[in-house]
Amino acid sequence: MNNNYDILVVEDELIVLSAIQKITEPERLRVDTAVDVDSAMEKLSRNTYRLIISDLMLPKISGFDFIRLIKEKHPRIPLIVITGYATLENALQSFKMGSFDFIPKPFDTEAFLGVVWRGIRYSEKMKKFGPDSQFCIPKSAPEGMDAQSCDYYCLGDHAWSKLTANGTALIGIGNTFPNMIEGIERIELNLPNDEIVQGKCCAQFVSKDCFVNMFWAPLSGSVTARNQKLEDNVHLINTSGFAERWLFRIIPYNPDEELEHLTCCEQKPGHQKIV
Amino acid sequence: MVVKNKISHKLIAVVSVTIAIVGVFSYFLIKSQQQTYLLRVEHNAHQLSEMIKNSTKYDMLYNRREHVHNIIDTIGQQEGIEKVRIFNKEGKIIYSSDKSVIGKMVDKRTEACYACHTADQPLERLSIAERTRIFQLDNNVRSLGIINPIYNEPNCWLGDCHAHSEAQKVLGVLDVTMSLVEYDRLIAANQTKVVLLTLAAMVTISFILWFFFQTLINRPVKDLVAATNAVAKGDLTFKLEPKRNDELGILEKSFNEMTRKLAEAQTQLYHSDKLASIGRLAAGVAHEINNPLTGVLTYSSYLLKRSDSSPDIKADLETIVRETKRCRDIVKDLLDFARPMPVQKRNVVINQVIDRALKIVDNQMSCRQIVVETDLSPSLPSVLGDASQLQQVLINLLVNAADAIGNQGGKIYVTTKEVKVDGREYVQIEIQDTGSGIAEENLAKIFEPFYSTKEQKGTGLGLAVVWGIVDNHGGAVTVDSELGKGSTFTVRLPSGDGNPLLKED
Repeated sequence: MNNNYDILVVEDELIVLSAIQKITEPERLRVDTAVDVDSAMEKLSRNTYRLIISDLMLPKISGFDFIRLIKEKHPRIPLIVITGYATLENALQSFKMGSFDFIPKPFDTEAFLGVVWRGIRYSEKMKKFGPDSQFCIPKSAPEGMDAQSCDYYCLGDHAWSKLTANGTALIGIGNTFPNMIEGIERIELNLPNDEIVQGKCCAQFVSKDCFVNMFWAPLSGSVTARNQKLEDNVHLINTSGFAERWLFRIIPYNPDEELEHLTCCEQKPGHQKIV
Repeated sequence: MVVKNKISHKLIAVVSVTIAIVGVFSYFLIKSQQQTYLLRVEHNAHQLSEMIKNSTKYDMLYNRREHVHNIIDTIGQQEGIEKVRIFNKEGKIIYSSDKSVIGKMVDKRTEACYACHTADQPLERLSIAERTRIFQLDNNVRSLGIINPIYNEPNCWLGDCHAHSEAQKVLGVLDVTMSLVEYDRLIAANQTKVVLLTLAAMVTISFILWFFFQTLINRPVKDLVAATNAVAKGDLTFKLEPKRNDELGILEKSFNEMTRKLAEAQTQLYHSDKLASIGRLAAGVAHEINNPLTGVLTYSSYLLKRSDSSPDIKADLETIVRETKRCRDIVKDLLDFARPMPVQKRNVVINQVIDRALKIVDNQMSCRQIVVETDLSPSLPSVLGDASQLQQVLINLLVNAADAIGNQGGKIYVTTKEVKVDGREYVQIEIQDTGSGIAEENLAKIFEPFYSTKEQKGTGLGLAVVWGIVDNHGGAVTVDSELGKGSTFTVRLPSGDGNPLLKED
């Protein structure tokens, strides 16, 4: 029997499954669940889904192997990683392997719904444009990564950083935000001590439904400038070009080391069209 | 501990061998003395024998037998001379101090003759040694006999008496027998003296060796063994009191140094181990606890949204949501803390890190009327380390100092300097505050995770994080404190390649 669902949740903890069902119920999202990878794959082959949400610790197979499997078999379905073991490494690795976003457990309803709706909208875009909807196309020879050979260093398609000649770096918003947040209302910055830390939330985009979209910093550093224009008018993220969607200028602390966790991407000709 | 092969036993063996060697030497000494004496006696006997021969020669030539008898009698009465005899070639005694044997034959196989007559044909020339013999008579008195052949010479066959023919080579033999009583007495007395002296030397040497062994080796070794056992049982506070300047004194000092370092290493290991266990625990706890927390947070948030109609319930649910979020933050802090932080080492200029950390806490300091004074050494070498982690260390220490001062105002002194410890160069950062200080009994605990004096304010991880980061950098952090006066935290980091010009950015 072929069914259409919005979300497939792969999670072995029943309380988390039921919590997700509780959260999504008022949103009228059709949620299917799987407690292990085998049943998930089986369901994916049978039904259609717009979004996959998966725990990083699954029985038998590691969450990363599952991401790899999904990217191979169902490249057009965005995957959101949820984990109770939300280390920096896990977050960075999830993005590097191509997951859509990352949300640590326990999550707020608002943050969860924020990322879920964004994922579902991104799924529509993926369906339409395929891999073209992604900005970040990994460069073919990632070994020769250095400041000169790379335009942008990306945290998945979520955030980017660009090193500039004067030693600072720009931190910007990737392609998983523009036009993906319905009723975007404001941006809330989270800058303790005026610094951002790689893999930690440094900004939140809040919609009029109070759904929260967390923005993970791709690099660590102290903030020297902010994009006042964007802060004043958050709707600009929907209309600005990729390069204009910068949030902060920072002095990076450890660029050499941290850039290794990011994916080197090149600017694709004509990407502006699908922004 | 039962020692099978005690040093003292080995020493006793060595002393025994030494004493045995001394004994053997004494034995040979006695032997050698006896021989020297004997040689002298032999020589004397030979001289006497020659004297008799020469003094009777003249009378012999003139055949004045009475004179010869007289001479031999006179000499024979001398003290120590037992008998003087002259016998002819056939062995017939012609002259003798003992008249009763004159005219009798001497057995050629008896002691006096065997030297020449061992072969059937008598030898004509003999050395002194060959001509002497020592023998013992029935009265237990040793005697020395010496024979002296009387050779034929022209006067003897040319003489008027014509007693001897020219063909004879040896005319007869003069045999003198001397008593060795005096000699034996001397030798015995000497032997007794040597033996007694040797024994005295042996006893003295043994005693001196024993005494020195006891004081120089046995006692300090016993102390060292006791100290080692104490340390082996885990008492790392055990200390020896080195009183001497010899190798054992150095050993005792080294032992104390070793124990001190061992104690330090143990403390470090204890903390590292603790941090590592906390890391494992945190990872497990985080994963396990975050799932149920998801349930609690989701359901309580869900209920909260639908509780607008009843404000009481709403307030309670708000508390539940707020506290659940606090749980989440604690677990997150714990996870952040326990996550093995990879140290990204590069040359870091500590003074710059301090400046940056001070800027970050600046606001907090001025709000609390805390004045921060710095004395940063301009010639400081760089440190090989992770700039952001070291900044974390400084921020934590500064915040800690500020918390100790409280809101009534105070001072924080930050100093940096270069120090040398155990031949290694370190950059030393001191953060001194005029705060409340830490009680002596709590000093050991302050770096332990979850130890906090700030009641509800902190998670108790700040100083543990400091400790972990500094430890990861191969450094050490120590604290001195006095209640009511303030505390001084000292961070020591190994200096990098010594190039202060290299910057981390």
